[in-house]
Amino acid sequence: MRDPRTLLRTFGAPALAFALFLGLWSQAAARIETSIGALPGPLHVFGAARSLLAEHREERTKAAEFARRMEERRAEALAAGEPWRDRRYAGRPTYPDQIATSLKTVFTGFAIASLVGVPLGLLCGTSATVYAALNPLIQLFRPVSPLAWLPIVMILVSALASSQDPWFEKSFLSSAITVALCSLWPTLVNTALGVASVDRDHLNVARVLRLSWPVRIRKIVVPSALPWIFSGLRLSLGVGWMVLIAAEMLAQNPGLGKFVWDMFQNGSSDTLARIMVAVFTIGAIGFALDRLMTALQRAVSHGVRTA
Amino acid sequence: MASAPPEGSAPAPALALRGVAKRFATRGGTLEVLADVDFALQPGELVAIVGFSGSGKTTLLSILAGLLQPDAGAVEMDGAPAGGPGPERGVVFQSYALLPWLSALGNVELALGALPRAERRARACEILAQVGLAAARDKRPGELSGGMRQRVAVARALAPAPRILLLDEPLGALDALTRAGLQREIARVWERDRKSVVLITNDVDEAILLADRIVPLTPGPGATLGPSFRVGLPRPRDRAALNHDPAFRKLRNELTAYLLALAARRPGAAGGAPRTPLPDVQPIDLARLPRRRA
Repeated sequence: MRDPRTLLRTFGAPALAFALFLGLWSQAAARIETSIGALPGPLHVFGAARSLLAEHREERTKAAEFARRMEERRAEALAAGEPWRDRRYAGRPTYPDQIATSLKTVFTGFAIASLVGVPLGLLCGTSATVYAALNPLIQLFRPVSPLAWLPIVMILVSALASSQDPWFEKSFLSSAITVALCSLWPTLVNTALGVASVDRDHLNVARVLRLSWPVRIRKIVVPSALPWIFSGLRLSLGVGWMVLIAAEMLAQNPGLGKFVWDMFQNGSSDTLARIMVAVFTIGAIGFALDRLMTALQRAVSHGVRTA
Repeated sequence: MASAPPEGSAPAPALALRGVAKRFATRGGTLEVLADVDFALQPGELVAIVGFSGSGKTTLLSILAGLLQPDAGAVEMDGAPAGGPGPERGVVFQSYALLPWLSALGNVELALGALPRAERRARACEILAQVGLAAARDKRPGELSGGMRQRVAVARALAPAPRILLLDEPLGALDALTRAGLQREIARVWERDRKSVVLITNDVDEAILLADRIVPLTPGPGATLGPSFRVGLPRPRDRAALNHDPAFRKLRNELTAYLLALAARRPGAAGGAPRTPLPDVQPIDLARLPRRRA
């Protein structure tokens, strides 16, 4: 990395490509007219991002003011001995709120997928019979688009979550379950593969020592399959994040997907610029999630190789 | 144990193979690795099986350990059918097969699962101390040298107090100096415990140094065991002194001549460079060695 030519390639080349991309984009934007105005260029999109953040700050100020007023009125009411009922601030979710909702939803779905995928993968990897039994089902459901799952999930969630005050919003639950259904497969398949490729000598050790099933799983199978499991989890989170946007659009879960959809329905002069802000946000978060999982994966693989 | 057992009726061998054959399915049909193998390990005896690489040594050891079942013939322990693998037949694998995510102590403790935790730990420490690894017990295999790893593997095999110990080329991956040191170690452990031991090796000198009896394995396919060579040399044997011992040199010459004659007979040997048959052994995984992580 000390070599200036390497340095140039690692930092210079991507910077150049990015600059070129921005240039081409702004050139193209100036020339393309749409039904709702010109295609926004980079500066316009940057402006939209700033206005989204400004709206967020404004909304927060309003919310704080509302809370302060409520507090005053409550004190007055209590002093006068009148009955008092708390009221919630009925503001719109802002762009950062929507990002937070999306992250919460994707991690919920991802957690469900992991809790199902890893144990099922362990079973598939340890038992050829279980694998033979489940493999056709896995192959059948793996390629199914989230758009096909979602209506089924929404109807099921509506049917099952019928209580007056459910734990979760239906839209949240539908989106999370759809994410889980689509992101389950890489974890399941990779875990099974990792378990099936445990060193034969290590399994022979387990046989010679007559290790019990739980000990064999805990001390031999899981540690050696861990890098595989984590690479599956990484793929799953990537799939889940992609699926999430589509699921939120249709399920109206107040995250980034719904934001894109609402902007699209809005059709204002700012629509395209704001959607593009969402595109960059989604990309950046996806990238960050992937990096996070890569780091985790490396940490566990490192442990296995050297350890 | 070079002579016949003192009692009138011979005791049942600790471990015996009767007419054992093993075939593997390959793309070109079935490959008969072992054919008609008869073998008997007397209680307290150390037998070395010497063979070329690829002759089926590891397959033979796996059958002795119960890890593989023969396609024909029987495996007997103390005269009764042996069945599956178990802690009474300890194995030191060629690749050591230590678990890289467990410490030396953890690897040995794994072999003592039946004991309560505190006792298990104490016993594992004790065994590691016996092989000279008391100081390295918290290190992981990746942080240990080849010789130390080998000792951990031996400690793990000895931990459940097996009656029979099966060693699959236990010193094959080590440099000459470490090897000589560990040969002394193995001899010392054996002279103390007098377990029944099968040592698989490709080193004639090592076999003579350690064994009561040496059995050559003819080259595969269809490998079988040749005639036994008794090693009548007194113990403890000293490597340096042995080199000048006429009995040692005679035995060594006989064995070498026998093995060379076998080698000449193996398929493809006539044309100078012998065609190497596919070995059925797992190579040592060099990627796991710590030195590679520079």
